[in-house]
Amino acid sequence: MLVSRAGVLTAMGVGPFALFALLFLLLPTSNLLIGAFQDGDGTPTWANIAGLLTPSVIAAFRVSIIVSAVSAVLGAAAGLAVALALRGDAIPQVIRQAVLTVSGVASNFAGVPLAFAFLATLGRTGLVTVILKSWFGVDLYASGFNLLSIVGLVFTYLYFQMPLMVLVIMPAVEGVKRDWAEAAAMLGASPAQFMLRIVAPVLAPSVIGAALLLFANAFGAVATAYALTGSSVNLVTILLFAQIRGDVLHDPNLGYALALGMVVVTGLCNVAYLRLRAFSDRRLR
Amino acid sequence: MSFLTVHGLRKAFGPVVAVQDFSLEAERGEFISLLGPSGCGKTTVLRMIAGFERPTAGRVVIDGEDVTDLPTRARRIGMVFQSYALFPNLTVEGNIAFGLKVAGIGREAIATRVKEMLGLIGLQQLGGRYPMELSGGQQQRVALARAVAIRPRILLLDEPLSALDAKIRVSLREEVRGIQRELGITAIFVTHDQEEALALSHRVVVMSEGWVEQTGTPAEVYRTPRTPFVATFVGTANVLPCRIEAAAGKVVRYGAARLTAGQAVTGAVGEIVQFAVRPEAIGLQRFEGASNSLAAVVQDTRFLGPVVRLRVMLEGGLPAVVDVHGEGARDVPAAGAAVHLWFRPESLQVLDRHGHGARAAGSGPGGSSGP
Ligand SMILES: Nc1ncnc2c1ncn2[C@@H]1O[C@H](COP(=O)(O)OP(=O)(O)O)[C@@H](O)[C@H]1O
Ligand SMILES: [Mg+2]
Repeated sequence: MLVSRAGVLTAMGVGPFALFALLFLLLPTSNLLIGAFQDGDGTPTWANIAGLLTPSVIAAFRVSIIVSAVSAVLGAAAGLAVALALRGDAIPQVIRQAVLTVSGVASNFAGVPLAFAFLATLGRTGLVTVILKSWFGVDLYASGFNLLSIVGLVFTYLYFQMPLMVLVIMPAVEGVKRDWAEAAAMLGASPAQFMLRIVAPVLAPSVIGAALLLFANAFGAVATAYALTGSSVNLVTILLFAQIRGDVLHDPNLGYALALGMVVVTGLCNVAYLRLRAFSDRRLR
Repeated sequence: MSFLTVHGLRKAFGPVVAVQDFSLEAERGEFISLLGPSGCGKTTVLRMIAGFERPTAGRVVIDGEDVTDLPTRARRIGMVFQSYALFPNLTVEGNIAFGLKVAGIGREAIATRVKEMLGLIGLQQLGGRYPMELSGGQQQRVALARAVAIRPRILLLDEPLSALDAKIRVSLREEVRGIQRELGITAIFVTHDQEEALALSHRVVVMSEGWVEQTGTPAEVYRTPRTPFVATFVGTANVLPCRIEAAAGKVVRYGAARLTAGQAVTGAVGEIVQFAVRPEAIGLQRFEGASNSLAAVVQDTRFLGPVVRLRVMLEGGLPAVVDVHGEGARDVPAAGAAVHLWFRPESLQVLDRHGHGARAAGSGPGGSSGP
């Protein structure tokens, strides 16, 4: 069989990517898969998978999924609102640029610095907490708020989830043409009808896709949560971290199983996303 | 009273005045073109009629109802956009049905109307397709069907054909005109293509730099252009500056040559007035004629099929164009030949001597028939 010139060129282009995927995606994943079904001595076992079904691990997955889902949904809603507000000629270009730049920075602001920033403002002795209490008589912590809790964690995650949503959804929002709004108005539709019948269906796949991305983003996050709450909030990533860190809980093979469980959850997200895209492709591309 | 009255429309975007003073009266069922170069304010006029832009001044009255302060969705206007602007999430049928749905029309009635519209544009087979699965010409037909499905009082078309290739453009423009005629709908059609405007319209509004230069039937605008701009933008024209010989007379002077115009020329003796002569209205003679004769030297000749176009230099250094057709085209003078141009008095068309500003002040006849 002859190999065409174009074929060689394609191979040269795709080659590095294939190598990268092999080294950093396929090998670790298969390693994970194998490790999840072995004990410390390399003997095949179902023990690790069984370990996933213990109450503490199930609880960890539950909390992780709840925190990720809630921060993804709220972040997506808020980010979408911002992106929609930035659309069109009503907002000056300067403000638009400023918001996008801030979003770029904030969406990458995570880990220890973010945790510290939140502790310093909304922690038990944080600036905002103190000001609210001494100037306005509002005692956040007495009213049930605690930064070092699931609610606090969701709140903190929103700090990068919302700007990430703005960045991810902006291109799709900009794809909503002014002409469409005018055509709808010409045909007698109110702005609400236009939103409901045109904008919502057009943006839905992108919005849900972006929300899934936000979910995965929060689901895999560990540094922010660990720095903020230590191990007081029981997340999968924190549990996983404990297995491979080498303290009392040390059990690398349970770690493999935990990681495998996370891969399954994110994998399901991806499948959902791909199905969604295939559905919207026919009309929009 | 006219079906559509647009009076004194003006639109300023900050320091940029896109439309200076636009007035128009259209009868029911009339097809009117706004013709002018890019940036002259055609789209802005259309958008003010549609209600997408708020006029800085002026009124829009449709069928006796002043709609100037009404939002677009209450105006019952159909518009076809240059970009088609079809809803990508809806099928062809969905797009056509959209206006009927939001109006709360019953399912049966919508289905009937959609079917009728698909028949009108000849796309019965493609009702289930999405816009992205259609050619440009098909998309624009759907956009037209969507606009007329709501039985609008006025149909606005903003360069609907300019994104299409030349062949489709010509066939689709006839189709658009046919549908407009069949529905008896009043239409305002924006174009920068003079041939399109002349071929389709009952009347043409020629615009330049935000001003209406002239409003008239295609023949009026072509045969009796009112300004140098109209004369040169609609077709080709030679513009000759001439000096008035006698008050209220027909005789003027271009250099040493005495020219007789078709109608009396108003103005003071000695004043310079612009005249237009079409290239095809000029004949060539070997010898100087008795009247309306201008000496010239042929610069070059171009074979254009039906005509041969000569570029000549008039005495006094003004370039001019002469079209020779018929038998004469077989034997045109070569470059360098001395010739005499000749034309009938009716072909010497007097032009407005004033610019836009003067007309704005109300000194000229203007293009419109405002109340
Ligand atoms: N929204 C706007 N803001 C500022 N200037 C505008 C706007 N819309 C149009 N213009 C200006 O108004 C003039 C007329 O534009 P337009 O009506 O689009 O012309 P045409 O349709 O004849 O090409 C142009 O100089 C254009 O730049
Ligand atoms: Mg335009």
